[in-house]
Amino acid sequence: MKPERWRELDRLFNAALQCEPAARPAFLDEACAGDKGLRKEIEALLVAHQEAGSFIESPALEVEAQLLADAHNESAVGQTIGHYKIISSLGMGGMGDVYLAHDNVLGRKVALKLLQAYFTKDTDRVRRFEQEARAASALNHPNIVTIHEIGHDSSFHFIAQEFVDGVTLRTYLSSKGLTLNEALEIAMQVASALAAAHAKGIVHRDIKPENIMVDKGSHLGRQHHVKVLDFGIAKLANLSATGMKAEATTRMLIKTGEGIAIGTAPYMSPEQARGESVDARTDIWSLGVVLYEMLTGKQPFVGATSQDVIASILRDDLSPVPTEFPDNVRWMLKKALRKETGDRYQTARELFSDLRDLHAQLQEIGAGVTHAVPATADIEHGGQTEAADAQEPAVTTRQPQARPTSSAEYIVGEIKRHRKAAIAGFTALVIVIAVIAFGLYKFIGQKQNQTSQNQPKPALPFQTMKISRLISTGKAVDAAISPDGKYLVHVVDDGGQQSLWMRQISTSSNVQINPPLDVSYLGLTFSPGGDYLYYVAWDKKNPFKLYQMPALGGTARTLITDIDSVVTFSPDGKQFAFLRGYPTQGEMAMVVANADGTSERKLAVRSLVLGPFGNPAWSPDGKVIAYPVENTANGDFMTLVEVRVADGSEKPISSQRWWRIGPMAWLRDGSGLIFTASESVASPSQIWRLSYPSGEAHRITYDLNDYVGLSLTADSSALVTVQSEQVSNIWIAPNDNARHATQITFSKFDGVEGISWTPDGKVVYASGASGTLDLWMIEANGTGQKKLTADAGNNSRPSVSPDGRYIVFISDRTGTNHVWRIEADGNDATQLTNGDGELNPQCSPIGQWVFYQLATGKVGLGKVAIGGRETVQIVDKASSGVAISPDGKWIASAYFLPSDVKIAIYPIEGGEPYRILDLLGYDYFRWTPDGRALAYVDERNVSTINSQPIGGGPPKQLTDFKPDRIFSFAWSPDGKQLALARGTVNKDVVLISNFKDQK
Amino acid sequence: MTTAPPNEVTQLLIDWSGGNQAALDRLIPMVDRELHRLAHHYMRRENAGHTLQTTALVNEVYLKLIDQKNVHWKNRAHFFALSAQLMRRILVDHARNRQYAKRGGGAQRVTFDEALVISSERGADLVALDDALSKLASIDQRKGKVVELRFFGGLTVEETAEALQISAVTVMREWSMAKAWLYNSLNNET
Repeated sequence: MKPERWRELDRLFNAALQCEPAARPAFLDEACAGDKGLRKEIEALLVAHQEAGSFIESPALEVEAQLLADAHNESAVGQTIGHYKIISSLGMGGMGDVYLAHDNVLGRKVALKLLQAYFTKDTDRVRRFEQEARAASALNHPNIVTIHEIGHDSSFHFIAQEFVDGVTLRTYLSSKGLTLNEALEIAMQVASALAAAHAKGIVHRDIKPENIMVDKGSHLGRQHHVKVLDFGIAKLANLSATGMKAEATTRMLIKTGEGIAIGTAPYMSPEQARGESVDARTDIWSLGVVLYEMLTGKQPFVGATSQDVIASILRDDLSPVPTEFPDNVRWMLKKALRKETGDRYQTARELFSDLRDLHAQLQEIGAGVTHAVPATADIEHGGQTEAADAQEPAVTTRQPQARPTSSAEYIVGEIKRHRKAAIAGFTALVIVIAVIAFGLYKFIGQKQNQTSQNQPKPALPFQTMKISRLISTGKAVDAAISPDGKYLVHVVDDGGQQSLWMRQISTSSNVQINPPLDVSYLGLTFSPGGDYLYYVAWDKKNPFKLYQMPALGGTARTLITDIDSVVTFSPDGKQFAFLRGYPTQGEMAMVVANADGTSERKLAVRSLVLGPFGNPAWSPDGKVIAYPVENTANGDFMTLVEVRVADGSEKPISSQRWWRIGPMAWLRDGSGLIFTASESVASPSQIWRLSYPSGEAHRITYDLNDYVGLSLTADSSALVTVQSEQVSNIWIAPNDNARHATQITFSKFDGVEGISWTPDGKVVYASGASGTLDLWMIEANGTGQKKLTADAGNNSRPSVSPDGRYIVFISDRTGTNHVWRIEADGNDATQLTNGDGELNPQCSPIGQWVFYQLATGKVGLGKVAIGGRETVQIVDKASSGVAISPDGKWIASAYFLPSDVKIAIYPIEGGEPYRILDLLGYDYFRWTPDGRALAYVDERNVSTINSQPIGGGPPKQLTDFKPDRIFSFAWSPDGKQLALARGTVNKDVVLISNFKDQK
Repeated sequence: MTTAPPNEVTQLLIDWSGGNQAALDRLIPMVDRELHRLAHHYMRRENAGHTLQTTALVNEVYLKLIDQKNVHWKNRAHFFALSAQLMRRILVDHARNRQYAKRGGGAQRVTFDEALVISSERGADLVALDDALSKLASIDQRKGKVVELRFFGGLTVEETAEALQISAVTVMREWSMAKAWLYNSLNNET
């Protein structure tokens, strides 16, 4: 179809829709002017418009989820599981689907509950489930559904239980009204079932009409026979659905509604709703709700959503029980539905007794035939008075403790809290050093002297770069120095709260200019004259804002709203430039404005990829502004370009690529730029110098620290940045007494990237002491330290072969991370893998295999013979970390889900996981020497190594090295000693001088 | 230096849009897992009277997938556009698999995870819709985008408007015509 015709079709279709249907033919007669083809097409579309209805109105994702759900439901019919042949689907439950099945051995019908794969993948939970279900199966009571068998075949875990030929109370309730007598009969039987279960310590936790079966005979006017379903299962359903402890689970259920089987909320007790631990009295509440509903036809606490219902349970007084009910009934309901557990019926037996007495009374006076709704006949017989109602103490109410939020909000919040906790734990470890009174001004003045002391010939091209610490609290996250070098402004991050501080260098006075707030500072800039501080801050909701504040204190005012970089000033200080993204236009722009924020104009515009990332820097001659731009043509990377201020034209400055480029500053003479940048997503952010205009770039720092923030003194003799430095050393601890650890290395970056033992008791570790990562070996007593690799890229994550002959490790000497092997003396380096990028090699304790993680390109786990190069992929699930059990039979690796991390234990041959574990830390984990647990660094408390039994149970703390952080650890082959890398991460403000001639 | 961060979806999306197929291979399991979780919500639905807040669930899938950490990241619209493309790709693939399973026939025993490939009439619909949508996009790119963002991306009218930088009224106009055209094309053409 020609575009013109399509446009016409489009226009007329929409115009026709605007007309009343009756007026359309006339409209089309005129509009199509004899073009029958056009008219026919429009008419076809109008018909389609009428007929389409809900076509594609629901997002495909929802439709897909529905399909998956339906598929689940139908998938099992016709199969034989164990000795049960599945006949038809009975319904879906919280834990899995329920089917009618035929027991081939005993020739009876059973209700077969299949556990969803979702639950059964976690063997630990399945085990707990089975424990619970077995306990429940021991309940032998006429009102409790009998559990025949708990078992599994190769695909399913299942529960075979008594098939009750009847309907759920829910269905029964919806089909007919109940008489008071019927309601009491049902409640009595449930209470009786609860009393029996409670006596054995089993709490149901999910009493609701869906879990109460009424048998078919009940329809025929006989006494109802009621059976309660799913004892002990509710707890597990909650556990499994969320992977949290029961208490936490309930709390989460409240906040999210997630995992609440729809229909459960109205029956939840206040203590369940609050996420507190529950006991038998919770079932009494729920039965009270069921009784209320049976009598009145409605639930006592209602709301539009689960959250509203829960809020009502916690907050609202019990809706008055209609006065037409007998006094005793109203009194019983109130007593069952008291918000405080202590005020409620204390036992199901008590409730049962009251129900039975009332039932007997009603039988005597012949009220049993009366319909509960409306209950008219028993008004006279019940003898109730309004006064009795008034005597009841008011039901205490309680405000909900947590405002219900959407599940998304909750989850995000939870992730953030989690992260925050990790950060808090981490900052707590940082050794707080008193701020050193450091005379920077003096320092700069004396620089020449110091240089000449250190360097006999300052003119030499290779001067020694000097790094001095200005702020050593370990908590600095950004800093900038004033042009005159007198002031240092810096951001302190304490547990996620950021504050802004101004330090006068000469007096070392340090003034807080902005208090700790939940904000994030993006950049700090002094005006060229040093009178004002400009900073960009984010309140984590709205766009970033630029503030201006007098440098010597005063009120900050907002200059620019919506800014995405720091500002950079023109040499005369009259204008500044910044970057701003316009996501809806898919653009970003270099914007220039007056120093007071007025007269914005776009100097240059480019298409926006993700950022804008990076920051502009105005050249000292005022002619160009340099800034980094994102490219995605061939992977995601950044390059540097310059914009001419005169006409906005752009040209590249250098062909060098970086993954991300941080703040930049020009050298005063315009001969180059200094900036922070990282070469890849995994490499540290280092300080670089780029010569201008040649475009030649080289690193100034060659270390393993991250540098954040960058500013130069006006004479560009020194730069200020925040250095994030890891300090780590190797310690040896006797296994039975980790507190008697002794330090055996005294460097800076030892063991951060892995540690391993030789069979004869030496420790092999990676160290960054030389600026690159290299492998070292040392005796456990700290003697005989020896470097094994040199001048060959970064070498890390060593693992010694069981015979001690080889050390396998990761090296990037070819430009990509691969598994390499050296002899124990460091000779004969041999490359073992050659994929897209591998990590974390581990020698099996038996045999000749090396297992490793596929880290780039392909994902999963692989293995290679230590003597060969033929690789085999054994797991294709995205994995991280490798730990082999001491018997060589199992391999543990973390796998990442979008919001969760689990540890999978695979057979050494690979394939599907044998077990799935939750660890409270997955950065580094190893098997304990007995092979029964995985030891890991607790991510909430990075000072401790915990162990998680493979077979389940709570984790146990093995060591505590407060306030240090543990980076890696390994047990000696005899299991008697533990080698570990421990240390700190400090974020300090540093001053770097003599950097210009670094090559 | 360090192990891969758990949440790499943003980067993977960018890589994929830049032509890196390996990124797609890594994205699919992440999205699949979310799909299963979503399906799980449906399975918990016990009463017809209670409906789930499915829009919230779909949004949650996105929230879980995107890189919350990256505070500098502003181009939300771009992300959603990429996500919609990804969802389209994955969902249509699922539908193709269903068709394939159907042709393969046989009441094979399937585990819950394999239930993905259970045959369904709906499978055919989605594949046909995908084809029709491609055809629509070749005639009228913006209408194609509107459908992709709303139907596959699960975006609201307002979000679609933001992503395409057009008014909500225009989105609805485009949607009406696109929907009628697609419906007509699927029902009246062979």
